[in-house]
Amino acid sequence: MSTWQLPEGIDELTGDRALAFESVRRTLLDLYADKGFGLVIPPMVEYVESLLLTSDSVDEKTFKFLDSTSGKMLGVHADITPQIARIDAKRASDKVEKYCYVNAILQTKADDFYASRSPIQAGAELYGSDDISADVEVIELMLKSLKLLSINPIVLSLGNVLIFNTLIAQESLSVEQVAKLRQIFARRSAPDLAEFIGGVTLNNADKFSALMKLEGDVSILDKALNVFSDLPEAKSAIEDLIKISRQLNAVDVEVMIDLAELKAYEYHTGVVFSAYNEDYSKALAQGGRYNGLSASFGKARAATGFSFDLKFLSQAQ
Amino acid sequence: MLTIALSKGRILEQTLPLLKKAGLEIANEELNSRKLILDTNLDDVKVIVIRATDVPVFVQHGAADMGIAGKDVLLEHGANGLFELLDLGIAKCKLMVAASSKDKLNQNTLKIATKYVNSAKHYFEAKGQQIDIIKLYGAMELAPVVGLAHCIVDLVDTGNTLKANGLVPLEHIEDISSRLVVNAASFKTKNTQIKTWVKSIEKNL
Repeated sequence: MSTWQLPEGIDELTGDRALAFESVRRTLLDLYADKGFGLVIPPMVEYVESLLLTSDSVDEKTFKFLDSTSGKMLGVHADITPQIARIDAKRASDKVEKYCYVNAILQTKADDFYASRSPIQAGAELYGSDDISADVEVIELMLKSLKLLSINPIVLSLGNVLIFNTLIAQESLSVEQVAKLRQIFARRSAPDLAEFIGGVTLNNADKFSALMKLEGDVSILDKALNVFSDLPEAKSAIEDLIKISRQLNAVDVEVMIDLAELKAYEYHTGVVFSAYNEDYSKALAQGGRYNGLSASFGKARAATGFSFDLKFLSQAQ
Repeated sequence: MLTIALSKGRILEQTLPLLKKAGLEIANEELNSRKLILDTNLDDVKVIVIRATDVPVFVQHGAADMGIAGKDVLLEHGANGLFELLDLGIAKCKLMVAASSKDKLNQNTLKIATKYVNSAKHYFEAKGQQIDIIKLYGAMELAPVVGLAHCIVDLVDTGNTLKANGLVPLEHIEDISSRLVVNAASFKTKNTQIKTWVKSIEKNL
């Protein structure tokens, strides 16, 4: 091994590439400041308890080591969102607070083949509002960020994990069975779902099958209202999406509804969204509502936000 | 433009009639040529014919929007970033544990010869059985006969090859058939086009 070799999945930017990154970082931060999102720079390491490793996928991605000073386990941040939850909790504010960040993070394994283990995560989070207008605000900011990065046109996928969660709450499934069902939905495997439904007793088997197929243009939402007409929570989750798609002011954006979309991070609790472009084989930016994260720091606060790998996207220009 | 990745060999023979019924045809001259990207009767659809194990890789990375691959290959790959929309019900078989007799499986550390490393690992991990895996690329049945392994994990169709080598299928791991897979991002960006194909293939199953 030569000494200038970098570890697998670790990369660096030099010359014009570094300049391109720095230039978009500045314009992005100007945009966020302009919209009232305050910059935060969370520390690189924290106690593992604070990094909210209750989310298995975040836990698996976090490098951990023993701090000989305190005798406690420390983790290198693999996702900024839980750190923002801690920062917001520390402020103990009852008002709406807006945060933005551009930070290098480290992950034990890359999200996919094209991703790095050392992405530079950029994002924005809005705390203290459970209103649809907050979701619309962060979605529009995410779309503006991508436009700044010259990514055009964009397909915006909208979903709401509350529908799936409401269905799960109607059933008495074990933790393992729920995990398996989540996994089946993540793979969108209609054949495996049919097999799963065949093997257990469900109150709403037909609704699970219907949910997996509820995707397409916004007209699908009316169909969804019919399917879930007897489940008020699921119905209001769908109505939220109708409101968002009406309020959203986005040019050159095709809105696609995907109600079977469950996010990779288990902490999302409501509306979820992701942005795609035909030239890329993965979501370019994503986010959603996560009203439960702050509770780990003592006080539940409504929150919604998005993030993306700025290092990856700055090189795509 | 839509690119479809097909698995070479036995699956291909059973796939082509399915696609034809759905309205997609590949001329024989194309199939028999040395070309790697094949034209079809439709201007906006191209087909690539590759090794079965490569299909999920091409589809996952968006080099193909859709693909047809066996469940065995998908299980082994992990099928991250893929949507498995349809069971095509073709190339059916079973993924099984086979050995010369049942007592061969009674080991502190079971030595397994297989090309399905991940599937074997998951299966025995769930059973709490300690294992050593020897990865082979073919002629699995030979391994227990020459003492390389206690058992094998492999696809079983008729069971004739096992029988000819003195092995019996003992434990069932998974039912296998071919699946239609779609890249998760293509599913969003080319939703209408992909759904039209999925529906016409499903209609003719």
